[in-house]
Amino acid sequence: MSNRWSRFFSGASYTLVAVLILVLIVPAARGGEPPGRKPPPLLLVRARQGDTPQQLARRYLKAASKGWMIAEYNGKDTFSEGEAVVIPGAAFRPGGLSPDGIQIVPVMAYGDIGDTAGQKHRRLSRISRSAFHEQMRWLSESGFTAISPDRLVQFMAFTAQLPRQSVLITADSESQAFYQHAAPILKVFGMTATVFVAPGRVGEKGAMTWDQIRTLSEEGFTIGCRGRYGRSLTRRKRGQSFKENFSWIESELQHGKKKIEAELGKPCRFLAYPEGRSDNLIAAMAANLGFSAAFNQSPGGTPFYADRFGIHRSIVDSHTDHDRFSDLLATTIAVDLK
Amino acid sequence: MMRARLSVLAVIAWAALSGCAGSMGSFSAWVHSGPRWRAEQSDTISVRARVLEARGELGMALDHWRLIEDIAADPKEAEREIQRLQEKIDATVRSHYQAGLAKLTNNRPTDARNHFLAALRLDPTFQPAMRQIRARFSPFPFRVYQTVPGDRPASVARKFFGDEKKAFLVAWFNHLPEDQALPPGSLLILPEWKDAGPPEIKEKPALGPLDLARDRLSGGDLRGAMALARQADPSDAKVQSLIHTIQFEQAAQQVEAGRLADAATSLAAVPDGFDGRAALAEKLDFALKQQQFNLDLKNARELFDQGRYGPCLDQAERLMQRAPDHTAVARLAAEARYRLALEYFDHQHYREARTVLESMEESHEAGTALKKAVHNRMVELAQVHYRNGVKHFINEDLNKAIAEWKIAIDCDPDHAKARENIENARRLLQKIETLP
Repeated sequence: MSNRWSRFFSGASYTLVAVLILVLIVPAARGGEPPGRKPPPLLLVRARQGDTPQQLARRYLKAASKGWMIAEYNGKDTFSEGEAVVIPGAAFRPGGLSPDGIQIVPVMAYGDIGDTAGQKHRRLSRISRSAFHEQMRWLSESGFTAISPDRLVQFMAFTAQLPRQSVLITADSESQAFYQHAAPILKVFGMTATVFVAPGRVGEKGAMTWDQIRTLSEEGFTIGCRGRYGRSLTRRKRGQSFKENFSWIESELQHGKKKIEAELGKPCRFLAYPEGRSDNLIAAMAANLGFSAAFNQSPGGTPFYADRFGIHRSIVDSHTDHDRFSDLLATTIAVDLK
Repeated sequence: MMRARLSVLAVIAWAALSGCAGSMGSFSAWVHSGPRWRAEQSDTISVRARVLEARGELGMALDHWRLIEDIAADPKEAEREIQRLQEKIDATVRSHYQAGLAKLTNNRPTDARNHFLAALRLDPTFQPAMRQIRARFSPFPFRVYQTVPGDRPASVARKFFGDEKKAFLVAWFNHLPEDQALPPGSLLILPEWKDAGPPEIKEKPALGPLDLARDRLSGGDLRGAMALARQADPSDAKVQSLIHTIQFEQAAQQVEAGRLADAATSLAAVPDGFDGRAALAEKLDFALKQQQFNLDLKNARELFDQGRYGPCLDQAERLMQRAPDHTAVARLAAEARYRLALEYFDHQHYREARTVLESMEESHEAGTALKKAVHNRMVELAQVHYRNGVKHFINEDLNKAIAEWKIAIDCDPDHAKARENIENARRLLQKIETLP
């Protein structure tokens, strides 16, 4: 009898040890956090051989594209085997504020890129395909990340952080040349861009078709609006009353936005003021019509606190040489914020 | 008994390993980067935290100490540092905020902005600083108005825009009917805007050809602008200036379009001191040179295609002097050099082949192989001439022997025996000549 009981207790103690191991060790190995607890802001991991920030981001942040966060947090982009790497779980510099300055996002405004048969000359002049290729190559080699306007708006809302060298590339064009020349170049260098189209001109001679614009949208390009026909909204026609002019502006903006949304089946949230010109009333109208941000054509970068309906864009055209181009790409306002 | 224990242990091991396998990759990985490894990193992380603090990255330093608190075997130091840093951050944030307010009072908005941003950097959730930034430095195209009893869109429009006729603006921005009384206490959104001009644009007097030309120019219609400008009074300095602007714009467009001859003509009509002319002239000059370069490169390629490798090489080398880093030209020159040397080699003109291959780049594999083959043939040839020289020497014809050995050295400059024999033969000749 006593033998049976001692055997029973001996077996029970082993079972108890087994249960303890399963309860304590396995969850610890699986990440160490029981479900429901708020994850710590930082995760400490041991680098494996050949680990890059992108690989670590894929493993721990579930997105290789967040590798820049690991690189910036640790102040390096190569890690040796066994090295302790700190993984930031969330934005650690919202608004891009650092002790030495304020991050600004340069927004580049292109017009027509490459040959543009049949397209009328606008305020933004052309740039050759080779010059555009060279600029994109330089951006890529200099470590710039092309962002979408969505990310810029999140940055401006102080809810997101961007790579230190971020740039927003935009083109005010519905020209075929963008589809045929510029888009492939951007893809080669892993860049994206925002294309502001005037729906009233889509399908004209030398212009893109809606199918092509849909393809760009599906490929990750953001499609914005620059009015229905891309006509300046600040020029009032002779003899037109203020109210008539207001109605005309409303119609230009609303029809342009709705047409793009109908063709693409997704919201059109970004506006480039036609010819880069606007005033406070037009900006207020754009906000009231549901645009999230609007862009003009004044040079200068964008800090998080800039006017969302007057985002500056620097014009890049055939007169922009390499020095000027690199000057336009400043990403910090040097200020002591210690 | 033993069997029962083993089976229980096997179950434990299996459960632990399979449990770990999902997220850790392997059990050994877990062992290497588990709690013990993490605890060992406390010192490293604390060093980083102190470096970050010294750089002014107080928030990041605080996060590092929080991490140490999680991983260290003894978290007491981390707890002390966390408290110290939190107090430091709070004090610095408050100090920056107060400094910002003081700068606003002193009418120093940029300094004020920087203090508010410094406060926000240290504590992104510090709303007083964020409110100051948004209110003063983030322009937004709206303002808000709370209605009072008796307000109608027309009265609000008069109050804000100075014109009752703009009631439609109040209605449009707030999705309201234009002619309805507004309930008191309602919040209205109004555009942050003041009409600078009169309420309605009156008919302007008819524009003259100069104004019309300017209009066309701003619309990019250069031909139309020029036609209209030509209709204006040519003695008027403004007309002259506009014509020069149009000609300058034409030249710029022509340069961009590659119509360089047209561009040169257009630019020639623009006076020397005209703003931007020098830069455009420089650009045109560069474009012309580039065009000529491309033409020469095309010609060189045509020579290559025709199998005229000698002239092609000459042309390519001239182009390389003009653009030493041009890879396409360098490639063409290397290929022409190789083909020309190959032709010489096939015709047994080894010396010529060797001369051509002297400047062959090592990266050209076929060229390097050919260079080696030419060298081997020259060494063989040197040996033939050396033996001929020996034969002449045995036959006591020293001059012929020296001539053969000279050829041998020419073929193979490293042929030591030939060099030595020449010296010996010359000494012998001298002795013979000095014999009585």
